[in-house]
Amino acid sequence: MFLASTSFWLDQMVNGLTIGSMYALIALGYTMVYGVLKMINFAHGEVFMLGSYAGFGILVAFGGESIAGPMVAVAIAVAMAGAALASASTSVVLERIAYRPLRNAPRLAPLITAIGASIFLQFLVLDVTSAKASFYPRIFPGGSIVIGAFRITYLQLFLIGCSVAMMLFLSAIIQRTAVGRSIRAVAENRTAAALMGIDVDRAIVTTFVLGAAMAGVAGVLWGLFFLQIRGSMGFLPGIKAFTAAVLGGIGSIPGAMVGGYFLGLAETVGREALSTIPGLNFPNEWRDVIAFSLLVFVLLFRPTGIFGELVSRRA
Amino acid sequence: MRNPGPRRWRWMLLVALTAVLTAAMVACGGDDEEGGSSAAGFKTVTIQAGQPIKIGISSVISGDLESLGVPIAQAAELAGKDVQIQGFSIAFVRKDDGCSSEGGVNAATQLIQEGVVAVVGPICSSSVVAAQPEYEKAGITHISPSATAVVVTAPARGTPFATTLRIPANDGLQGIAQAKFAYEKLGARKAYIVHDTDVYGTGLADSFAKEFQRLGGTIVGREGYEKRTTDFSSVVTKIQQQNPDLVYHSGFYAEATPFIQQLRRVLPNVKFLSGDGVRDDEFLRGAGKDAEGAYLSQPSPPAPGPEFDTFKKKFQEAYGEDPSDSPFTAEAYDAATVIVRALQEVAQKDGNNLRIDLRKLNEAMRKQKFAGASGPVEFGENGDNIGKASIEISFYVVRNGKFEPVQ
Amino acid sequence: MPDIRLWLKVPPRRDVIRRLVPVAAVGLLALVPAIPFFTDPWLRVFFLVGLYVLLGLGLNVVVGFAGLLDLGYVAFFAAGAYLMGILTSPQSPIDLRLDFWVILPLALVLGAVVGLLLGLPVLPLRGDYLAIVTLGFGEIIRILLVNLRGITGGSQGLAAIEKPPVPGWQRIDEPWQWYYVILVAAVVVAFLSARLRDARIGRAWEAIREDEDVAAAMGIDTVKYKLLAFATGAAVGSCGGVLFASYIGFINPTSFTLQVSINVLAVVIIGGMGNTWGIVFGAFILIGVPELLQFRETADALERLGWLRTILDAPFAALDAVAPFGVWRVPEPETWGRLVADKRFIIYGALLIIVMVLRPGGLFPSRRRRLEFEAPPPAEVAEPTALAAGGSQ
Repeated sequence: MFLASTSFWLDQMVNGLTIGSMYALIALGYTMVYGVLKMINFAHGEVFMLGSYAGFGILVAFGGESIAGPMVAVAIAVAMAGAALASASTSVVLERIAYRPLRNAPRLAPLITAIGASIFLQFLVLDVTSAKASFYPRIFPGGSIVIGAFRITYLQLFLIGCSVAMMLFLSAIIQRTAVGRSIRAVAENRTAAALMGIDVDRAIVTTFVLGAAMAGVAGVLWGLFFLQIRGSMGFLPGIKAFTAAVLGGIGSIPGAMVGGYFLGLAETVGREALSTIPGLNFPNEWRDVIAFSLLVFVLLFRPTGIFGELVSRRA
Repeated sequence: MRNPGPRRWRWMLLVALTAVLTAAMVACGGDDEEGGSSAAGFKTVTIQAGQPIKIGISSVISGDLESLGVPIAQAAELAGKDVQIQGFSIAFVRKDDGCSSEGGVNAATQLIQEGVVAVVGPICSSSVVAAQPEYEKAGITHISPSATAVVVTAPARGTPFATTLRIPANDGLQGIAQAKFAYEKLGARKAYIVHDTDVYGTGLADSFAKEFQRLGGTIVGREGYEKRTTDFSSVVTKIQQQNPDLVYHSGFYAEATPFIQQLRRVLPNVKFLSGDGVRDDEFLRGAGKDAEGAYLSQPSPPAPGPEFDTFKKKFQEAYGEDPSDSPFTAEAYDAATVIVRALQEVAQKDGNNLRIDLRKLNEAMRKQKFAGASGPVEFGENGDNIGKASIEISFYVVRNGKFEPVQ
Repeated sequence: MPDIRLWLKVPPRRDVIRRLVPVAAVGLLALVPAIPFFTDPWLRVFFLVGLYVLLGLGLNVVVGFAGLLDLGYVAFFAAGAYLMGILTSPQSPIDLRLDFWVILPLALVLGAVVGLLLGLPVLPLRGDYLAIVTLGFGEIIRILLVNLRGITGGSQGLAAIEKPPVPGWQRIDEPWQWYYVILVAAVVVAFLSARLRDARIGRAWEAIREDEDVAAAMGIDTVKYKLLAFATGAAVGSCGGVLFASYIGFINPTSFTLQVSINVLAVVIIGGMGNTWGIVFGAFILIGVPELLQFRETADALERLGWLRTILDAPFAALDAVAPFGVWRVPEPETWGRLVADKRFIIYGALLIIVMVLRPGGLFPSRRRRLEFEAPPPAEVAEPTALAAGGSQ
């Protein structure tokens, strides 16, 4: 069915970019923490979830469904800021309590702690909310831009735009500022960085803060787009985002971004493309299988991911 | 590190032998389970004076499905509240089965151990299927308010379990009725199916698809999704490309809500039909305007009967929440009612104690026939609720944020 | 005067005791069902604990011995379970109804094959890459189980799975019988695993775990040994799956989620990697206790703590008496078990964090590990010694 209209493929592409943006934002947190601490922050998905809830709370405080006009922009902006703050705080607390004591323990210990933190946060929120969902107010203006066969809703545009902006912002911080430099130094060689006088602890905390802020914003974007949030929402996007980070080369920021979009597109466009092969059909339920198979495939040929450094064999 | 010699072998062999020998000893000398036949292990239970009659509830008490399992348990307990049977009160024992097969078995074993006379639950089909043999062996009749898989009353091997009963209708009937409705009432000829990959969603979709095609319609696409999915964008795009007359959904409101919202962004007018897992106030609340015009089926009479209103009032008084917020609460109430009514018929005073013959209890439960909060209750040979089958599947459409019956 | 014990070739007392202890412990465990206190519910919980001990021992070969971080162990578990299901359930496409004892060795072989298939593509991967890929595999398998309805029955699952027949007797169906099955299985696997560890394979694994490059440089065929590790661990997992499927009699994909992989990993690591009794303890704490908390016996035992409740409740009671609003009161002790059980996932998560932070080597690390993990934390600046750094971990 390749003669499916161009608009179909373009639509799927937009879908892929939209979901990919969110994977990318969340993936940044994973990749940064990994780069600096060489550990998988399994609880990052829950940090994303908490940001989403924080944003929800703020929007409700602003009036929920009754927000209108320019207040919509203000409310959303405050919600994103609040979410970033909430996520960052959670992340900092996690780092302090669960990760810092294990900084010199071999990798399995912090992995288990991270998994423990993830389970703890997820079920805590589920318990508090009695596992019921909360609904984001539908305040974002509808409507779309249509150019020939290409169409994109304002919401999708906002999502993609916001994500790209945040990523550029993060890149700027990492590349241009002193704090970013210190993060890069610690990621490259913690001991040398310490010897050079860099406050390693502060760099690490900053890493967590930045990554979590990205995830918090992603949480609000997610809520605005999918409109429904619950305590267990962080699990799957978390895993997907981590997959994206690994795909792109874990420890690499452009890698996380590329990985996120790559995964998003693979789940949508890629899946449909594979389905056009006669004899194969991959409806939606095969989505995750495609995603993970893709991961395996990429890593077979590039074990360190798309942008991964070939150096860290001892990773 | 020392090189372990052949001594290690010997020790370990000794251990293995010990285990086997002990096993043999216990086997020959240990207590025999009663009811060795393959039939149900019915026996008579005596309740001491002053003790309550225990009824078990196997549900999900914690974790992701808590919002489903807890209201069900609460509704069941409501049916036994303040009830006295020959001067004996009723106590409910809740066990968490985690909606899993091993959980169902563990919960069953514990409930049996605690001496319950009957059980409401388990709520998930997988728990029921796993636990059925346990309940059968112990002669404890259990009645599920929500398990809808076909295999529950039509086991893969052997005859249906005497101790298994259930309240909800068999999915096969709802699917057929939905297909007829779609073809005849809505005039749909091309349907796109989106379904939950779990037992309920897949079963319902299968039966709808089969009947719809038999009537002459075409299924232009079929996509599944896992529970907790929120991103339906690529499915919606696919649907848009196929341009069907009808979008058919089977699953629960948790996923139907984001699905219909995303669908309406792109196809505001395509007809939408779903089943009783979605026909819930949460769907209306979550989807808001996007739910307008959606068609939903439910295996129960068009207007909720007075029994439901009574139940709803009781529930609200006791717990302060609307039982309609959560599916299968009315069914749970009815399930417990079946047990209570049967107990009233069958329990016999024996001096100061109470005697309950589990076989008689089972028979009495199976004979129950009444108008319940969730609809008619009447059991067939295999434990299905044929009362549900005798009534038409009702259809509703969402108008102005409410469910209105379609005549 | 010459030591007469040496002359008689009697091992020194300390040695005998050390060897007797595990035997005695196993003997004690074997007697458990004979104790009337341990009714069916207990035996069922013990079976589950035993199953996780079995799985833990299998994963221990992969993670503990060879140092390969596997987050997808559930895939092997599922393989064995579904093999059993497909070959005996009347709902499967193949209506064979094979004998349990025939399927068990088949499952071992299948497990090994799946382990090899998984191991091959991930050979060059290290650390976290390996972790995420194996996680991916686990999820792929689960989704395949759901979607390949023709083969696996989809979410409907496969029911009426056969119980193992014991020649000359009945089928294994009672909880106490299953208890012995899992006990014997766990003992056998523990024994074999200990033998492997002390054999050349085990030493190769250890070398690979410590530093794969150095091991390769020393002439160890890392490919072969890594594959062997996967295959062995997978075979054990598969065996566990067969037992599980037969025990419950019904399987469907919801029993094979990522949570299972995490549980097994947690059991191994919390218990103290490489330590069999640690794994037993870990399984008991993480898998057994949450179930036991729901028991009537627990509630009854807790009832005796009424005095404790009074003490803890005193301040709340006082406040309640004077405050105009309702004050939360400490609940009755017999409900404590249930309350904790209701919150068990939250507690599970917290427990993982607490145990790891306080004892990163696990609760019962082997002596070797203790040296690795609990070397005094170095000052911020100085690079820790090679040993304490934990090398390629």
